[in-house]
Amino acid sequence: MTQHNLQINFLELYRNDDRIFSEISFDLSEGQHLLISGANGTGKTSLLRVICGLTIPTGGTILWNQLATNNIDCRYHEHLVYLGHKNALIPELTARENLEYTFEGNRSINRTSSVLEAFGLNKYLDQYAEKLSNGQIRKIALSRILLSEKTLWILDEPVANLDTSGTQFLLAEMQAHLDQGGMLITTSNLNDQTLKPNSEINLDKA
Amino acid sequence: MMKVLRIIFLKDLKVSLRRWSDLLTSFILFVLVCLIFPLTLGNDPSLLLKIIGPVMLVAALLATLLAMQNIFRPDVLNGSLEQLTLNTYPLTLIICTKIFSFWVITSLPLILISGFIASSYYVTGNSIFIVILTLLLSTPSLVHISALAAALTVAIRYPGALMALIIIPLSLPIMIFGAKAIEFSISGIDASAPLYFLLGMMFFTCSLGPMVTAAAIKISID
Amino acid sequence: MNLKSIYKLGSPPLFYKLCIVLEPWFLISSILLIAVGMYGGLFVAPPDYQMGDAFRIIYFHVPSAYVSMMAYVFMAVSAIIGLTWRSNVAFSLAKSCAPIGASFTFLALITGMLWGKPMWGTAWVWDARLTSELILLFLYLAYIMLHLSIPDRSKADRATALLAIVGVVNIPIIHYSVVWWNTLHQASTISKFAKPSIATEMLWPLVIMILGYTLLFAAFLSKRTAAELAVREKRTRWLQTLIVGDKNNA
Repeated sequence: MTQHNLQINFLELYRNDDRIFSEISFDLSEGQHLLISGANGTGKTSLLRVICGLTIPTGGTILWNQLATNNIDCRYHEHLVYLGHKNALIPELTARENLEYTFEGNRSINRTSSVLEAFGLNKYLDQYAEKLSNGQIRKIALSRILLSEKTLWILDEPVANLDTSGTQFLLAEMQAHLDQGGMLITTSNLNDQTLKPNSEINLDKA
Repeated sequence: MMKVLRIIFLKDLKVSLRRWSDLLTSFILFVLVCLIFPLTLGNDPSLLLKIIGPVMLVAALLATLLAMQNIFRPDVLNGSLEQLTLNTYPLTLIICTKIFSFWVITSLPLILISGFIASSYYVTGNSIFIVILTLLLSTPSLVHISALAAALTVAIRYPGALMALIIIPLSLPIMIFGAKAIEFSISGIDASAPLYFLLGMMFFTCSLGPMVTAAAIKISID
Repeated sequence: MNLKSIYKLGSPPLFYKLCIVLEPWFLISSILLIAVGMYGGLFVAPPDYQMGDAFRIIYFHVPSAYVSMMAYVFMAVSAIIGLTWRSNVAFSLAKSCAPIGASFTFLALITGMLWGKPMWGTAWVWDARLTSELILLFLYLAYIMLHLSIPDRSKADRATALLAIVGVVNIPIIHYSVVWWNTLHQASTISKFAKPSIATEMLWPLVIMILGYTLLFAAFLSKRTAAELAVREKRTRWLQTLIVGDKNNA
């Protein structure tokens, strides 16, 4: 089983001559957690989107397993899953249909129901997504991540909108993911030490 | 791979059916535009026979324009299109399936009702079949061009008539040849030349369209 | 041609200086050529046996139409180069081409209408060539509007580049429309391979006018591109030194 490794070198992003961030470099291996911190508006979401490949950076490179991510042989997107501010839930579908819409990952029934049970979603599975509260929508989006069986989780403010039990469950799951050799990149605008990061990038000073 | 595309196709059909008010609006627009001409021009069969070709094509264009405003925008707003671009499956095929599901939902009703509308314009016999065939061949191209325009403008907050400004120059050849096909058939001339052109345009847009649309989506989501 | 020198053209400071230096030459030579062509066309060339003196508008109509199509192809090629190499220079060129190309297209349509009235009896007719030239004007306008509507500059560049590339399909349609369909518009007078179907005394002013219009387009393009590059590179050192350096010299 090959060891996965993400390497970022001198990433920079300029929008219309405004510098969003520059000189971002880090190395992430299996079992490691990177925290991107900074006040609102310092470019955390933009950095996350650049790492995912949604936004093309003005400079710098991203290497997955020593291959550049825009190289056609690089299978970067097979191993990553991203959750941003928008929850990617289609309002006209029920929660169950939204979960089925992700067609990757072989999920066992047991695992699926245990995750949904922990989030307390089992009662709401057949409700249309537009009728659910923000927190419930967030929980469904997070269930999708937890059930995806991908190595690299890129989460933008994962505990936003969650209640205490949901937050505890999520943190436990994130720790379990790291213990099984997964990689984690999260953002936060608070100095919460609830999940100890291996490395931190603070965009306030950069 | 086909399993994935089938899932996307069925899910998009389901979602479109639940957003039925948009689709009904474009269908009603088509029927109304087609009917407004006989209502305002009066009951002159020769005049109606002359105008049915252009009227049908223009109405199809307007209905497609209206319906395709919503092909990408809701999914960009709720974030699900981003997730599709992050997929390992090629975005081109996913977009192709999406556009096909939109064509099924928005254009098939138009094609089915076009026969009745044609007969209300005093079109008879074989020409009704040609009218239906013309719409069948021209709507896929129109849908693909509209999808490209939608993808280019999806990042704009209030696009206004920008989509129309992009679609109309690109779709004029289809309109011209579609109208010619109907006109030829009504005059009794063999309409196969314009129909072959429409078929060629259909192959051209349906093969290259999704690729360019996927590139436009990736740019707009940036 | 040396590949490296082409690659160096992509550097904004070099291209900016090139534009600034070349623009007066383009402008002066184009004015000279247009003056010579106008004299030749309006005074020297004999009147056409069919159309009389009305045909002389060909000396304004054909060059505008030629430049309008050439400008679109130039825009599409710059768009492709910009998309492939993410070059600010190429995108600036493409963006600057659009308003100039649109103006030449508009001129071509207007002069065509002025010619159509005495020649055909009607200012406008919906045949293939005129319709496709009108489509070209709309394509230019769509490009300009799309560029204006997207606030993020690099996103706007790339989206409009796609639009330019898709629209280039229209150019062969315009050019060959007189060959493929029976149109009211006359067929091409100048062809690469055949002997031109126009008298020599009438031909040389036309060729000179075409060259003059092309150089005029180049003059406008270099000025606009230089301005566009300056706006895009306003935070870089080379531009600051250029501006501040001038202040020191003045």
